[in-house]
Amino acid sequence: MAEVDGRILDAVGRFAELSFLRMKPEALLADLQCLFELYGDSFEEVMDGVVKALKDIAQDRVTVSPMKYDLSQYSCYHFQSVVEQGQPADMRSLFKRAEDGTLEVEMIGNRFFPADIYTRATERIEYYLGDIGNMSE
Amino acid sequence: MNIAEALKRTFPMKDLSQGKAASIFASVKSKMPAFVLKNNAPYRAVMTMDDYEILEWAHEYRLTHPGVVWAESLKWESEEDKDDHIALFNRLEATKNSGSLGGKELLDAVQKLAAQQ
Repeated sequence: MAEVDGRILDAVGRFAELSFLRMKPEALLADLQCLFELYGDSFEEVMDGVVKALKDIAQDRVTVSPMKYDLSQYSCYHFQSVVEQGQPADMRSLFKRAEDGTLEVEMIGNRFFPADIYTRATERIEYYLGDIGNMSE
Repeated sequence: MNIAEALKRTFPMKDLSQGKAASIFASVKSKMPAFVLKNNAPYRAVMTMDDYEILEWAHEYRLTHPGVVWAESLKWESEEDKDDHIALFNRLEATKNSGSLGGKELLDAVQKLAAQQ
């Protein structure tokens, strides 16, 4: 596998500075690699948007949507990869709020790249649960 | 089998007790199961033994090769990308129980993962 780009590690550093955020390291790395592949030159700009979105969520400044079915424990926030008039909200952040108020982020990514984000999130959660098919437990 | 074909192969539960069971079973062929409805909702699927063996194998494969299933679900375009993702997934297995981290712990853990790539 290719070496991880320094720009991705710089982005990780920005996430690490968010005191309210908790995320599985392997999930964060995988998500950032996907975003880096998709946005390339605009990666840092997209990271600005992601960090702002996470801060907005943490401070309850935005409306989030509760998820359904297999992802019912999570909430989702839609935001733009690049803040611009007319730009679709093409990014998603799936998270849940822990009892101590921290944000447990499960996935951050583009809605459709490299595949449907909700499918990917379901696969990831199933993987961590360790027993595919017992999502409701 | 597409949706239209599947719809043609649905039978109400009462058919099984009204003398049509034999014809329903006879209509079941490889990759052409029959679906039984109960209270207007899908209730059971009837399939050939060969299809059942394939299904059982697929289920087992999914449990024993989650990395492959995971990579397939990501729909990477090239085989090389897929192999990379399987490799990444397998490495993640080792950190599966690390749980969520924040702050410097998160940074250190990601840097450690990145160094392994």
